[in-house]
Amino acid sequence: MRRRTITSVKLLLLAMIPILGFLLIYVVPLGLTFRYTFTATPEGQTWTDSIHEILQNRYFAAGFRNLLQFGCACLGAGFSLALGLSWLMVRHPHLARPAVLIMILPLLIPTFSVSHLVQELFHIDLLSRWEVCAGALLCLYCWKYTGTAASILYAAHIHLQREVLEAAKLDGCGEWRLFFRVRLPMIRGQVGLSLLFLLMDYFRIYKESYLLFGRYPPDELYLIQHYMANHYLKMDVFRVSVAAASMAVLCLLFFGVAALLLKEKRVKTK
Amino acid sequence: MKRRKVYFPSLLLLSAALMLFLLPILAVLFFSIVKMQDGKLLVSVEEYRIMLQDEWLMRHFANSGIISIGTMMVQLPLSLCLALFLSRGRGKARVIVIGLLILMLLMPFQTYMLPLFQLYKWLGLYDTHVGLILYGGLSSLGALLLTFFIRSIPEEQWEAASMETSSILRITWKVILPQIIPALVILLLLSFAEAWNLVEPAIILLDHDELRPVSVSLNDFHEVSWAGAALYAMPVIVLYIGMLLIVRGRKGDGWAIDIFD
Repeated sequence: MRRRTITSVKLLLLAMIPILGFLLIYVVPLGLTFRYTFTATPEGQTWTDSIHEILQNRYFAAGFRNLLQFGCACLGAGFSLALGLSWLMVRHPHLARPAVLIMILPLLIPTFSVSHLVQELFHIDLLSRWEVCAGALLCLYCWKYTGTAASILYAAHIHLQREVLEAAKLDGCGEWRLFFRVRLPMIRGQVGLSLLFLLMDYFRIYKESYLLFGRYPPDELYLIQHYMANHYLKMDVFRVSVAAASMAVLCLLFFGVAALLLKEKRVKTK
Repeated sequence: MKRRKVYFPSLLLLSAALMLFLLPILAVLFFSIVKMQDGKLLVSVEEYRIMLQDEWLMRHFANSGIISIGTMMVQLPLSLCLALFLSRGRGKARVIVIGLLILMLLMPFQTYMLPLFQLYKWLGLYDTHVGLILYGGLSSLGALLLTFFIRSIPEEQWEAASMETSSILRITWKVILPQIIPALVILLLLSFAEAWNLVEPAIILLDHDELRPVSVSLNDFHEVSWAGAALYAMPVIVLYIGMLLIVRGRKGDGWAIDIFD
């Protein structure tokens, strides 16, 4: 028992440097963002007035609205494609390994390397219509991230018990039915994981948007991240912090719901 | 012998999808050396020549190299130390740290960029490569990935080894490391790719133009856009193929996908 405690203390001491570094560089700044939301009010204004003014701001509202709308499109398209790809890999297991290796590659390729190609392909310039720009950004997002999401789903498929699948087939289950009614419910955890992966990368889509359209995308693609980046340039601490804290809360909300769903499943299987 | 049934339409669809994943990379490589002139296709490496002779651009490539290799060097040992504690340590602190790691993995950079900028100024890390290396090296992905892999090693092996020696470093070297080589390879690859592709932190945390990585500066270099894009992707592709060969070599019969098994 004593030996175990000593080992535990030693491990904690070993982990002290990364823990302190992580807290300092990641957690403290996020905490400060929330603090500034309440303390960095512009001079001569009350907190309520300042918040009211921000909430009334056209760009702030558009940023959040577009973030949600474009998010639905990205996640919907991304997840459907990932699901389709994983189904294709299940049907052709002999091709699955090279397929995974190819599909993970876009995640690693720097965005800049393909952003120029996408700009040329969609003829993106200052006069481009927003639908074209949205299509370009959606294609770039799907190309970069759906392969990895499909690989996560496929990795779950190969661990499914053959007996269950065989039994379903003997009961007259067709290929589609087998996939949606038997396979998918059995890999619910990994479905959640791949959705989380797609969501996490969606919240980081500013990088792709910046490389395609610069600081000012079409109004319909102006996300809350653009609002933050543009107000950061003006060093407007309060506006940036309020937007950042709202986005952090939104992230927490999404991931909290996902975590609850996954937890509920675990309790049920017990 | 039972023959496997082949579904041709879906096979065709999968092949087409895989081509779509590969096509952008191949197209960038193709356009970097093939140019259209007077309605004719010409093979030319002129863009590469201009780029390789451009001292300013090469300096930015070197900056990216310094930041990426530095991030790999910092992230590997720190993630391993943290992962050992998270997978083999005890106490509630572990749960809190894991929760914070997951939380920060999900948060976009914009949610904490302004306080981080102020903190870096205060610590003297602003406008330095060390600042960017620490930012990448301390990110939570590495620790979470290694924790996941170390947890899959049976605890009995750790217990048996700790009977023979009390040195954690020795146990890690003899028992843990040989079993997590694929995870370390993946971590190195992800860490390099992430740092090589750094955009927002480089814009916010660096001021002087000569310190900026190529991920930010290539955007302003329109003369060699195709060759620039191709050359910029090259290190990641080479590293990816190299890492696959390492993992395949170790596994004997398998590919990197075996890490999922």
